[in-house]
Amino acid sequence: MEYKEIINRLNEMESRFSDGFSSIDRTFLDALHFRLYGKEITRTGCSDCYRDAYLMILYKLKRDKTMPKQSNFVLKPGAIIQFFGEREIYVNSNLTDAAALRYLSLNKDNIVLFSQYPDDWESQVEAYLGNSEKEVESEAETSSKEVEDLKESLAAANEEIAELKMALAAANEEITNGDSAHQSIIEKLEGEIAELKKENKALKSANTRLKNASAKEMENEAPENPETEASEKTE
Amino acid sequence: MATESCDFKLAADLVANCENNSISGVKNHGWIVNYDDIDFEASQLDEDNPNILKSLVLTSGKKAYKVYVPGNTPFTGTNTALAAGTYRNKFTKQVSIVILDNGPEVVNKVIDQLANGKFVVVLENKYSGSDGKNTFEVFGFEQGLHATEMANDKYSEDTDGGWSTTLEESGATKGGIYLYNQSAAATRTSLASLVSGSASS
Repeated sequence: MEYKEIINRLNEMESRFSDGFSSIDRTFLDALHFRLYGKEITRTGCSDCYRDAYLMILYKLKRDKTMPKQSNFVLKPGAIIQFFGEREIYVNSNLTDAAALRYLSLNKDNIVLFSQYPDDWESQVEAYLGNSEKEVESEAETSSKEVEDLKESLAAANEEIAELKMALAAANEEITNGDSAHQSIIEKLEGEIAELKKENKALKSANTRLKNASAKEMENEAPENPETEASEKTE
Repeated sequence: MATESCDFKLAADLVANCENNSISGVKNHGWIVNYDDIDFEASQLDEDNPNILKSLVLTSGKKAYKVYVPGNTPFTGTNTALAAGTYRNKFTKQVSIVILDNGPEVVNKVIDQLANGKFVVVLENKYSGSDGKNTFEVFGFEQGLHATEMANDKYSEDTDGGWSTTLEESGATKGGIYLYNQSAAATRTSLASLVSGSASS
């Protein structure tokens, strides 16, 4: 059923929108909803769900102005396609020629699951298989080229590593030389510190001697009658 | 003519599932298809386990119909029982459906057809099993279900003037057939496509 016919049918159903759709209408909406969205009308027990579905379908078709493009392959009712390890489930609403051909390329007997298919489906499958082989070959070529490139870059990286090792050895040598120079400077400084300590010790003893001498001088200069001096101070 | 003996030997322990306890009953929604609409060539049983139906496919242009029975114990009376045979034991499966509706359209499109037709019913078990393969159980795939009881009791408090019917499959060789296609989600999608029928229509 094409776009114009479906729109006409939906327009004709509009008169029953308020009173409730007939069972034939509901069946039509079920099929159309599945075709457009790939799933059932939700909550089919409720009274408004078919009205909601009707409005949703009508809005989508009037906006798109065409029916969604369908694959040349049509699955029988109940048949689905799911490839091992893949999440996507193909039903008629999302089925593509490529998915159908891929499925048939796995086993041509799978054609029993299709209700419609092109007359030349077998040659299309062969072509698909041929393309797949070419793709595999080109992928293999690309892979081998990538391996060569990787080998070259590995060799370059090895050379770089060798150079870096040499540079590292030179740097280590420099560090060793630098260490011996540092050691001599440290020894020299330690000698100087020892000399300064000696000088400091001599200065300290000289200082002590001076302090003792000045104390003795003070004792000698002290007054003869200290009591008279005290009474003078109180006055 | 080659002679062959059939060995019936156990191949697993008879144990309870303690990690995922079994639950009795089925859910409110089911699916029913006309037996003759099934494309048996395209419908495939699992090679490793013939009790698993990998795909239930209808012929072009045909579709499945939903069955909805409200209440806490929908499809009450649905069961599978052993039927002793002279040379080989088989199974009798019964599916009980209540149709809470009546009228010329219902009788014309449903009741009269149920009375004389042959069907396959898919019910959704509450207990899906540890791997989800117990979710959808198929009744009537081998021999087809046919009506053995149908009644419209005007004063029935159970059916509220609607119809009660029992469909039966006798002579089934398998105690249970389960619809399972890679995952429960994929199987549910497959059932949805059964209801929508041929998308090109």
